[in-house]
Amino acid sequence: MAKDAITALERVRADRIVIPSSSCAITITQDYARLLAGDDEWRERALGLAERITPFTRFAAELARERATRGRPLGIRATYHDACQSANVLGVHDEPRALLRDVAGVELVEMAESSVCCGFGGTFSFEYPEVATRILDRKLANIAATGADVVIMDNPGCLTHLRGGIDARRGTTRVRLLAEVLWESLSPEA
Amino acid sequence: MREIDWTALRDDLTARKTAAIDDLPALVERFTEEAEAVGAKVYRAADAAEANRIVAAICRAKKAKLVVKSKSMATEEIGLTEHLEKHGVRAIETDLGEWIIQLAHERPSHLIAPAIHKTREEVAQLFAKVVGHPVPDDTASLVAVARAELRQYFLNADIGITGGNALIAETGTLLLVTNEGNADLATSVPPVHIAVVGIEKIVPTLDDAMAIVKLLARSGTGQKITAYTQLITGPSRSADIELKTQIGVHGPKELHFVLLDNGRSAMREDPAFRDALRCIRCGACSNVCPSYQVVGGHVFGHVYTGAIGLVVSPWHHGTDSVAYEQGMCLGCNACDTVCPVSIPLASLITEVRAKAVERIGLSLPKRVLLKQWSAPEAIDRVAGWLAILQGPFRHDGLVRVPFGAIAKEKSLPAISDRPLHFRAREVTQTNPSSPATRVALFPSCLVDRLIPEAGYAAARRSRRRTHRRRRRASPSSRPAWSIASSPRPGTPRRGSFRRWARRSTSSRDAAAAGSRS
Repeated sequence: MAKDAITALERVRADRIVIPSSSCAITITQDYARLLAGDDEWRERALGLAERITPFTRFAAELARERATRGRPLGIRATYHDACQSANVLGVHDEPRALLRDVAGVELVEMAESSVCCGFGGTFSFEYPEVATRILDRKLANIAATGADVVIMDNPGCLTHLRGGIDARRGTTRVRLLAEVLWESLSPEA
Repeated sequence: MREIDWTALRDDLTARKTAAIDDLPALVERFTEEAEAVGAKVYRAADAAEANRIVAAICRAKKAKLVVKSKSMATEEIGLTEHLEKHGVRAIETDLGEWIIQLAHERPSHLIAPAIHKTREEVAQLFAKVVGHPVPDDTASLVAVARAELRQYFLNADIGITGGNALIAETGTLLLVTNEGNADLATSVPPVHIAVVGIEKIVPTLDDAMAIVKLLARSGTGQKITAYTQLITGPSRSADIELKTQIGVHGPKELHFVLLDNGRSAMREDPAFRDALRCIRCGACSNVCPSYQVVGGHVFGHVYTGAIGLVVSPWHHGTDSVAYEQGMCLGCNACDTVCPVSIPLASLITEVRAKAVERIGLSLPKRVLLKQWSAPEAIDRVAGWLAILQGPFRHDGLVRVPFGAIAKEKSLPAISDRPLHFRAREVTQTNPSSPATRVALFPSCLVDRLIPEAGYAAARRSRRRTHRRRRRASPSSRPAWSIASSPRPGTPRRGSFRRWARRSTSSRDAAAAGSRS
């Protein structure tokens, strides 16, 4: 499985591969090498591939820094949810906040426990909905307490879980991926 | 207050414990030698049964009827209390939390707060049965009951049994920490003291033990240090009368160590799980675990609870012990960030999960889903079915499920009829002819199928960067973009994957692999 993925990605003729999903980036850059630890050739290939991979948030922060990018200020009040793996494994914290504040002119309000998992956990939220719901409720309460209209994150798993959870509770807070918000600020047409 | 340098303390303790585990066989020898030199007896137990036999034999030799125990996970691991009960020895837990769960006939739900799942009202009911009359349910009254009841056991016990927070090889010393002071009573009042300790607790020096002291309470309870921190080296002694050493004065006459292996040596041979032997049993990995917070330690773990419980239980209690419980881990990695000895808990849990799945298999829906999801043609097919099924329940990119537990939990993202890889050309058509950097976007299955607009934004957002750059630099220095053919998790039929890969790299406007510049 990992070998097929490595082979396919090696064929991609690009200097860098950007991944807008932290979990996928971590799986490819860290888990593959560990999974293939017993096989020197494949382990090397996994590590070689990992060097070309950048999580989207890091990549965007790098570009924005190099070019001092400024977009259209969006004038929204938002809170940032640190996707658990982005925060706990990749150590991403300041980059998305700087991007939102400096590039997209977003007013950020910090929520409590911003890096605590939202309860998605891949298939977890389908296998153990009762547990996932209680974790989600706590996250939603922390989001609501900020009074922000929008919650922003950099991982699609959280996005589907929070967006779905807010909809099922008939909430009004909008849930956006970091990339979407940045694109809205930078797209040529309003 | 002076801030502590957490990272430095953690790196220091990690290095010390790693070195101790590396040198473990020699440290076991050294500890045995030094402890026996100061009058202790040291036994080695290969497994739980042998450890239980050794302790029961000492009890028999001492004609012991009553034993007081200080909180010890090692004795929970081997089921010592039940074993002694079978041999006619009554063992009373003296840690407040342990006593509560002993009265309730339960097992600890947390490494250092064993009765964290009980309310004070429940505790009052348990205590009322002990004293034979109702007990007020405020904490002070409850503690007063425990103090009065347990005192008589301390005074009448034939033997005190403890675990150990560390063993110091250079001096043959036992380190014990508590907040209640019960270990001090259990190790000083009865005439015999038995310590049952896992071999991984041995460290070379007193300095190493202090590195543990610095982090154990900080990680466990947020204290700088526990209220009671004991170092016990050999049995009680005095030379006050004519400078002749007499063993056993106020404290025990006998000190016995049972060094417990029970899977630890096997763990040490495993390159990945060896790291878990560094554990100092602080319980921090439970405290930060979102799933543990909801379900508690009776579900999340086995005898050992929380993240470390999922990791070590297979070695002490077999793969089956947490085969289902491992499913409670969300994979959020919060445990990794707080472990004071840097155990890679999350990835070790993934390994436990892999072994558990080999053993118990996957649930039918998961098996079907994963099988379909790992073959690209199948994804297209399944996505097609779902897109039709979701029709009536769809609104604003979401599907409100009309039934089941999921309905209350959340709405599901609708399957897009226009996955991101259908739009690859939109992104790539404006690529420069000779780019400086070629960047591919790996969309991930969720983005591709469920929220393609977000992936489109990710690609376009970075394209925008390239436009800006073009204005400043020469056109030839522009990066080119493409959307990588997402290699869906492998396929049982490798041929089909290759076919798909060929297809997706062909002229179809889907999943353009590689730059088209």
